[in-house]
Amino acid sequence: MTQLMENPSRLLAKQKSVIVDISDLKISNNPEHVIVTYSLGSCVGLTLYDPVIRVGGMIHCMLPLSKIDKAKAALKPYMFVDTGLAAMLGELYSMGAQRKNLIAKLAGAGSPLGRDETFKIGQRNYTILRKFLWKNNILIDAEDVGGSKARTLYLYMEDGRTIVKSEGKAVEL
Amino acid sequence: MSDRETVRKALKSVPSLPSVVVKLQKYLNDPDVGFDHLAKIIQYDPGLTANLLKMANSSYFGSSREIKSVQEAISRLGTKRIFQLVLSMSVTPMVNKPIKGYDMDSGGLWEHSIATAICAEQLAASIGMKNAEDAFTAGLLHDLGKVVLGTFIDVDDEPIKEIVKSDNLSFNEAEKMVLGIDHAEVAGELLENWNLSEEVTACARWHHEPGKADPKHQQLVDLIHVADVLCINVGWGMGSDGLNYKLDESAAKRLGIKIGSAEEVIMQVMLGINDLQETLKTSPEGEPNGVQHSNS
Repeated sequence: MTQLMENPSRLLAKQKSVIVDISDLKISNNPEHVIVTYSLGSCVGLTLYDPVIRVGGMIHCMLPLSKIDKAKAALKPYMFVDTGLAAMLGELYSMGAQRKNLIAKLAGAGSPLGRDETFKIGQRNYTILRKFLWKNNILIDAEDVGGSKARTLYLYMEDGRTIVKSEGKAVEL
Repeated sequence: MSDRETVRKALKSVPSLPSVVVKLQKYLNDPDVGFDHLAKIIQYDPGLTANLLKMANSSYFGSSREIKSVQEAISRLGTKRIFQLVLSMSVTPMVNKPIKGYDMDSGGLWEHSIATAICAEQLAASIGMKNAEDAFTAGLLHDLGKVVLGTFIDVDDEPIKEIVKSDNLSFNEAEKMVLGIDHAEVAGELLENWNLSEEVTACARWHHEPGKADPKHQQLVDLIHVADVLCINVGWGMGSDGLNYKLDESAAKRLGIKIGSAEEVIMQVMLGINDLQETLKTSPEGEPNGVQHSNS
């Protein structure tokens, strides 16, 4: 990971920021877009980018598995890692992205201080996400996960560069 | 830098609760005061009335049939619920502002407060907890100390963050080291000044140290502690304090909360927040409340 001097929140005039809320997905093929998600705690933020056709997206999932409520998951698929990632891949493929080209980067899956033996939501999100990508033959190129940091994740559509900002520092993944 | 005396002084400059809340609080448990009288107190403020009806008809609070008047809202939802709704609207201007000392954008603390209130209420239901009527109120108000420290005093969070990192302490422990007081104790004092119930005050005071609560308030304090940590964890209203808080595992054990039910509750909280955000955003006044604050 390279330490950056620039502040990614200070965007160039032509760049438009596209915000991904909690339980949300944004897909783009516009090189002027900078996709961003704030407040990643135990949630996971995943970026997938096809550099050949410059199509990519970002998802912010809150919980690992949709089986806790299939009906709600049908209404809010991006809330869960399993249904969210399936929808994300579907959208990217429909825009022409190829699985073999996809660059995957992720951030989040944090936890409160201490051992957190009770809930482990961050850990569970991370495990399910890795499993899903592995099953779909997608390797994780870079990640910044775990710990008690709050993270902001940026994806620059012009070249697929992915930046994580936390505790005032911006780092390229 | 700040010390306890500066904090005490700042507490005095925090506006008191709006008179409508004070009146409702006074009459709530008075069997001689009827629904009509309570409705009149609310209807005196047209902005509040409009927003109350909107909230009463939101999917989270509402029932299947549309509620058209304040009297109907009181009889259908109950006086306790109406008090919670009026209180929510009253504290909104305080928690909706950016909280500079915690590097929180506008709306951040509102989101965290509402999330914790819903989370506490849903957790209580999931474990079949009795006497949990105050869960929503206590969840809503537990972090008001951050408003006092972060806006009335404008505390510099840098030395606090340094200690969190260097000494591996939780944010509230570091606050105590730097300021001599943490946001939980400040919230406790504020709610005491506002004459809120002993139990709601105890929840704010001990929400990061549930083991120190008086045994008679233990269960509700445990509930607010767990709800708060879960909501911090998800990232609702995250500030410069990040996830730097500790979960007291024994509080979760005492309540008997399991992973599966916590995840279901988080899902309900997400849906509840979305619903209330939509409801409050469409307020005709542009501001998500119609309550006037008076200075004490």
